[in-house]
Amino acid sequence: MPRTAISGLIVLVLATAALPALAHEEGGIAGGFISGFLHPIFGWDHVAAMVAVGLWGAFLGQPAIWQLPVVFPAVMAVGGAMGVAGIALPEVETGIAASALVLGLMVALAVRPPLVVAAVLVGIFAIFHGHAHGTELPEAANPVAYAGGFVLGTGLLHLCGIGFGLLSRWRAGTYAIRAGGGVIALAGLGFLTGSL
Amino acid sequence: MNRTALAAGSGLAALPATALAHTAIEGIDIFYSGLLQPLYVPSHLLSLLALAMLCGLAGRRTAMTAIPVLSLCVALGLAAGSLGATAPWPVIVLLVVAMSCGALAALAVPPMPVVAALAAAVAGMTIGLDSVPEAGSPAAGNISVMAATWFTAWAVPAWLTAVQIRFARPWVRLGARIVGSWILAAALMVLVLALKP
Repeated sequence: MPRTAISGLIVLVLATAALPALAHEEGGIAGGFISGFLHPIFGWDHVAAMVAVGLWGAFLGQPAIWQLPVVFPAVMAVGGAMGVAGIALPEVETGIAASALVLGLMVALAVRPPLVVAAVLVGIFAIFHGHAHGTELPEAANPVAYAGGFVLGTGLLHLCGIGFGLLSRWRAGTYAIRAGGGVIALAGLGFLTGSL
Repeated sequence: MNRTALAAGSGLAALPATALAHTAIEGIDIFYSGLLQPLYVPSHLLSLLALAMLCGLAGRRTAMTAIPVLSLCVALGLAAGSLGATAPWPVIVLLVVAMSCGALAALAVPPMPVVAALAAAVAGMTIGLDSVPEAGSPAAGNISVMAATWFTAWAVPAWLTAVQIRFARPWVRLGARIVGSWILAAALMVLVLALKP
């Protein structure tokens, strides 16, 4: 990605990240936004999977680098809506842990499926993540702020993965990314077996 | 000044406006409360952001239609609200606008100018009606407070739209699509919660 593009992307993120300033209030908006923003960031299973999405997208190159982070929140909303509506989804925590394992393996093994296959796989796991977030939404101090917070937190984790994934333009970087995928897969295995 | 520097400068210049939210919440001048009102209310902010992302993706013609309509309708809403009118289900209406605009932006489906203008009209009227200071509050009946709200409600989306159109690069469009998908996700879930029996 050209340097100007990276600079511009930073500007766009800063400009559209006005939402966090709302957290200065100690009332409902702050409670909602902060808890929503921190929910994906302080949940290591969420972190591993979100970073893996960004990593895999970057590893697959254009247009997956941007398509996967667009697909994920859009599908995640469906899972979130199911959680809000009280529609049960079996094995949510298992699905989240499996997402870290599978997506980590995709990166570690340098699997390059067609974009639609990658999007479907990411979308399936997004349902589980969304359901976990959505289940907590009704208890949020301010649901709109909570939803904005966790979507933003999720997106920033994707961007972290993409940023790391941009190392793929160098051979050594590719090895580093695949090693990162391996670490995520191991973490996913740990989440699945309960050892983490 | 090259484009990168211009983009960085305009982005940084916009940040202090956000930081004012802190002082407004601590009870400083009511003018600033009015200025920050559209950024402070999450449903207002989501709908304005979504509209800006959509207008930026749709291009100059759509933006030149929708943004003036937004400005006009916020003013009309504030005026009507001052006369006692109220917005029906403001949160739900604004979330529907945010979700629709966010979905179109995420899918990169530029709407016809009239569709964007309709979304801007609905959002503008609702935000205007919903932003009138409550009777009995220090800001009640204060024209400058409402003028400040009106300014922010159209200037922020106009600025975001202009940045996208000015820096019409593929990565800008992709960034707007990502933000659109975030807004779609947030709005859809809260909408389901709001409509949950």
